[in-house]
Amino acid sequence: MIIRPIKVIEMHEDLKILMAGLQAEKAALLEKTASLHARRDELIAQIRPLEEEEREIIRQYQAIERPRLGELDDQIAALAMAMGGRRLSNPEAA
Amino acid sequence: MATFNKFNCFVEDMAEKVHNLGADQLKYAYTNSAPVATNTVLANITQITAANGYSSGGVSVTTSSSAQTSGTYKLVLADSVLTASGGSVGPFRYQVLYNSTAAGGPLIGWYDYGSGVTLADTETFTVDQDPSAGALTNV
Repeated sequence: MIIRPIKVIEMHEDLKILMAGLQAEKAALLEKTASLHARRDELIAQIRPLEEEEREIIRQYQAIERPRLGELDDQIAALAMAMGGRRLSNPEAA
Repeated sequence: MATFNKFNCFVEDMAEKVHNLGADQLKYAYTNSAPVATNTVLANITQITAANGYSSGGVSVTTSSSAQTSGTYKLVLADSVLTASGGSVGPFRYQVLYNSTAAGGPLIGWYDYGSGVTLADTETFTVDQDPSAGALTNV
């Protein structure tokens, strides 16, 4: 004689119903925002060429400025301090 | 040695594309009111009066390098000088580092000089960065 675990089977059925409900809610939620995600993707696609152009401009001016601009600032600061100017000294890395 | 105090928002801003520390223009805004870690944008900072060499928005700082080594990021900033010109500047005590390129001027961190300073005409105040330690690191 076989005894079926009726309670376990019923519990699994309850969990299946619960899971189906959650999946349906998730699908409805994502459907609700799908057009917004699509619009964002469109905007990103439009922005991307501008970002690439910006990166190229950054590359160009940094190639000219670095490292000399920072060296000039450091030398100007060294002179200001040598002339007795106030100084916030050696800020530590965080 | 001045301690670098980080604004809380900075770590999230770093993770959410607010900053491009390798390219954006960073500045020191000068203030005599103590910043708090929960401040987020430049508008939260009461700057000193814009006059006699101090412009609203503060003093630009040059980024010397922005790079990682073995997985540790380091931002190296050049020294920055504020010069009083035509009159006094201040009083101020705090130098607030922020991003002037990003919208709203998101805050990064601040230094505390320890006491209020007023620069007389022609006097200077230098934020003297340590190039080996960097202004900030991120592991």
